[in-house]
Amino acid sequence: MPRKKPSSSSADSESTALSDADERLFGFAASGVDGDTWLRSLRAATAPTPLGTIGSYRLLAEVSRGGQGVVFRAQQPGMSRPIAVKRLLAGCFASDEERRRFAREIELASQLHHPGIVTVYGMDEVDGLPVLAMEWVDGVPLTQWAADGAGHRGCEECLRMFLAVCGAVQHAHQHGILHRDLKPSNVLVDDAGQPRVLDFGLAQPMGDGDGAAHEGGGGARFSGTLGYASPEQLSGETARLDVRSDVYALGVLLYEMLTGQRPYPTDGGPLEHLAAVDANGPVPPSRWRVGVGREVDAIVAKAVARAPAARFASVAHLADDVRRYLSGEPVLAHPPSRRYAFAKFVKRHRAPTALAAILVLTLVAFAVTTFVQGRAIAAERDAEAMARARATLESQKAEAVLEFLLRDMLEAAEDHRDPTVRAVLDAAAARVEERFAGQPAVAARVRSTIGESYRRLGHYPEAETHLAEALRLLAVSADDDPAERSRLEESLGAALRPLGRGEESLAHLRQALELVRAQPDGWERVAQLHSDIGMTCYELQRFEDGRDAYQAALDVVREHAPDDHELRLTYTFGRTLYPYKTGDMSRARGQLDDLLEEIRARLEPDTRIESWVLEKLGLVSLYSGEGEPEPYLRDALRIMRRRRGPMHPDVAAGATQLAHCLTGLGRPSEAVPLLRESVAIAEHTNGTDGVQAAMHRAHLGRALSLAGEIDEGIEILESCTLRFSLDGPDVIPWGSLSHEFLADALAARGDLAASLALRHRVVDALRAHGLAPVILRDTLGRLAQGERDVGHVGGTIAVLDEYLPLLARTGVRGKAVVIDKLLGWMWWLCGVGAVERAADCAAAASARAAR
Amino acid sequence: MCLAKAAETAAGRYAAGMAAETTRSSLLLKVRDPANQASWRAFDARYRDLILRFCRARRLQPADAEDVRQLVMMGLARSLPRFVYQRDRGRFRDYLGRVVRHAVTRYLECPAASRRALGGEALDALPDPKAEPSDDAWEREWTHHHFRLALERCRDEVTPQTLAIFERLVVGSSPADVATAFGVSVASVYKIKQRVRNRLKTFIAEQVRAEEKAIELVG
Repeated sequence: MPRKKPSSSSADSESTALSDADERLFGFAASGVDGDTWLRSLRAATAPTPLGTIGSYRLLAEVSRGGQGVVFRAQQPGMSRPIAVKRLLAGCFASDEERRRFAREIELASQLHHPGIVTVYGMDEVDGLPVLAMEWVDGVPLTQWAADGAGHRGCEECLRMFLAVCGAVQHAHQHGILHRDLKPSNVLVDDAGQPRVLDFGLAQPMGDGDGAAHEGGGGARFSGTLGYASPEQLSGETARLDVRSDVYALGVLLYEMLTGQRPYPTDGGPLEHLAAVDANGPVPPSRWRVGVGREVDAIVAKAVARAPAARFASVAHLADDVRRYLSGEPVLAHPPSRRYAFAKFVKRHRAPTALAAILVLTLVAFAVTTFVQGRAIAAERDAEAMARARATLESQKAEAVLEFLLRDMLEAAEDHRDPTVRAVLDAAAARVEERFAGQPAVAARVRSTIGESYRRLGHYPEAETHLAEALRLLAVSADDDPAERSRLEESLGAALRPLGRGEESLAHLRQALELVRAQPDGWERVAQLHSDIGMTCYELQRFEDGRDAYQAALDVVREHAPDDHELRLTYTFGRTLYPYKTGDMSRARGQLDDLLEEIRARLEPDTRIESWVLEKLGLVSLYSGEGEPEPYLRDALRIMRRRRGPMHPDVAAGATQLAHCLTGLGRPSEAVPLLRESVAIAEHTNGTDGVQAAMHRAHLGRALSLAGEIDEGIEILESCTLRFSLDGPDVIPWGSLSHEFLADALAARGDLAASLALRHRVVDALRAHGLAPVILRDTLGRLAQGERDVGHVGGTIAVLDEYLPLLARTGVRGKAVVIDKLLGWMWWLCGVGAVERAADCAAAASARAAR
Repeated sequence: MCLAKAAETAAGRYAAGMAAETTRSSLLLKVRDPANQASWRAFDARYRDLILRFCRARRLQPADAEDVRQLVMMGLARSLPRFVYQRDRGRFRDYLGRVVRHAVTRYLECPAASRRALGGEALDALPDPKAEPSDDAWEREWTHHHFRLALERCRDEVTPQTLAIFERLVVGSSPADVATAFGVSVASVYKIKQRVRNRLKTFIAEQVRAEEKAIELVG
């Protein structure tokens, strides 16, 4: 996605526009009957062209193209089964040496008869050039086979398949032939589950080290494929290659089968790759995958060792060790010793997902900091007995936490062999109670750490449990530290908000604010708390309070850190939400545009705040009908995914916003997959019954019914109306919205009476609630339409009597829309003969227009 | 025809070209240096299909098409550096078209037995731009080439449903039929068509510009 404002790209599009001549050439310029010229060109461009023949072989498709040859799937005359045909890439320009080599390859390959090796039929000569004909294998690459099924094949199944591959390679070795280019696409697994090794394109007889000719004199070129080629192969030391080079490639294959990734990165060139192989051993496969034993780690590590001498001496040795593991015997490759340095643990988890490591690091940093602080305090205030006692307690707490981390959590991670954050946290949570019985202060510290971690991961119910318990423990301990209490209150407040419990959240946040204000140097947290309170107020529809809270946060930042742009922009965003929340879309757009510009000028790309602003701009465009909402929302979602990972509630929220927009644009079927994703994320993070899952489901139900899947939509919406009742605190907004969505769906199915009854219930509930005139107004509008659609003139007029004055008074979302609505109803009222009301309507409309 | 099917092979063929996206704009600059193997491979991956399809349209058998492709690459290795530095050289597409047509002619003229020698001398001389008339067949294949590249890029952007709908339009189904088949309104089918058209157009404009600009940079 281009990082520029969708609306301001005209200057760029000019410079990338096609010339007039090219527009004609590509058929974009034509109109009328010829308006589809481009489409016809595209049809011709993508139409498969018949390949023709090579000699007597009729070519069906190009299959692959390697460094040396191009392979076709082909058919022989009179034969029904396809075969594979390989021709030298250099064709008629191939040197004598290349031809000789190719002929020898065919000769070598045809010596090999093994169920795991593709059968070579022989050599043919076409126009004086050798062509290799071999068996056609219908199969999938080895790694694709391993990744097949629900998730991934089990470790043992992979190992057994791997043994079969080893058997085939070993057979070739016994005939004096190295493969030299083992990689997933050269090992296909056929329908019968038999691996078939193919492409001996790089194979050479053992001890025949005349690699230079093979390299084609290309100097720095190496033979084989980056990622699978052994380090000695990459260095071009062809004379030194022996079976251990194939052992290395097999090790890489096994690693990839087990984990779905390669042991060393390959995105750089060969030199970077070699450096990575040099630097340290691979991340053990067991770190990626549950169910992979340490012995397997050791086997793989030995196979892909940097130095040939450190590897298995032959494929037979490698296979033997795998066999030993499968039969439960001790393997010969030694697991790395269990000197369990932290650094190593962290290092292993450093790279890709690294979630567990980040968590552990956070926790450790926390524990260590408090530990060090404890000491520092002790040293500084040596004279004060109270302070010393306190420092001792601090360091005891820190030590206990550290101990807990090292023993319980890391061991739990070991047990799991899949140390996702969730697994580590759950394991820690399960043990915290018994471990710290009788030490409420320490237990409170640990609970608070665990609860805060859950919260940051978006697991709010678990966060609440631990944080509330920590608060309780802190109160009963002799050590009720206001700093610690304020942190807990704040965390708990933040955890309750996404659970839809705004009032409780607000109470905790205000508690925290009071506590923090009393502390020196707490301005950052004071500002943060103001902003949290602001957000919560907005969600409780207390817009003025929200705006004022953000202003308070801004004032604090301006006073204490006028140069902290990120902080300032974040709170400015909060304040900017006021016009948006109150429906003043044009002001909201202006402020958001300015904000976005400043964010892009001052902050690095793809910050979270940028995604928030983009999202709101998208919604402003959607609601005001001006500008394109979709690019904003897609960009926002992209940033969100990038920053938060695939399973975070914020991603669900972003996806739902985008879906909401697509639904609004009349593309509900495109919204459906996004919403299913959102529901899955919310169910995963906050449980099936969580308020967030239910909200996403309501959107999903609506999109489904609009997309024509009415029955499924209604089913989902009915479950939502059970979750959000109309008479509880849920009525705003989800109680009313889900019921209204259901009413829309019922109307779409033709159940007009049921739909209408539902709308009346919503209106009654909103009237009883009494706090949300805008929502009541819009609901009344839809009720009036519902009444009108079933032909109830009296009923419609009765609703209009309440609705139209509200519309005239509270309509703030774009003047034109309100006037449009008023005039629409005016004509209808004229039509049914309610002339006086129509006149009122006209008066209201003209009054509005004059404003 | 099924677009998805065509794309399967196309995806593979273009994979190398698309993967080299970051170096794409400077590809032509890099291949000025015949020793820069990686760039030549990327160049080959990007233009191979265009050359092969042009040959096939000229009724060459696949083996001959492969040989011509090889011949073109050898010829480019010699003449591209000069082309890049030439003052009034004209557009890259015309130059490539001349080289390809020249290669086809020379290859077909040459008796099979002595073709191997073509590799040593052929195309050494850059064909004179004024000597050959513009060739509709080449222009057609060149536009098709850019259509395929652009379609590949669209594929990453649109939803499966949008793609499926668009594919039906490409194979010639009427919007009304497509709307019925997918249970959507005719208007939204038209919308999709228009949207994909605009994306294709943008992508093609970018591609064409990048193709020419890579040369302008050293002009």
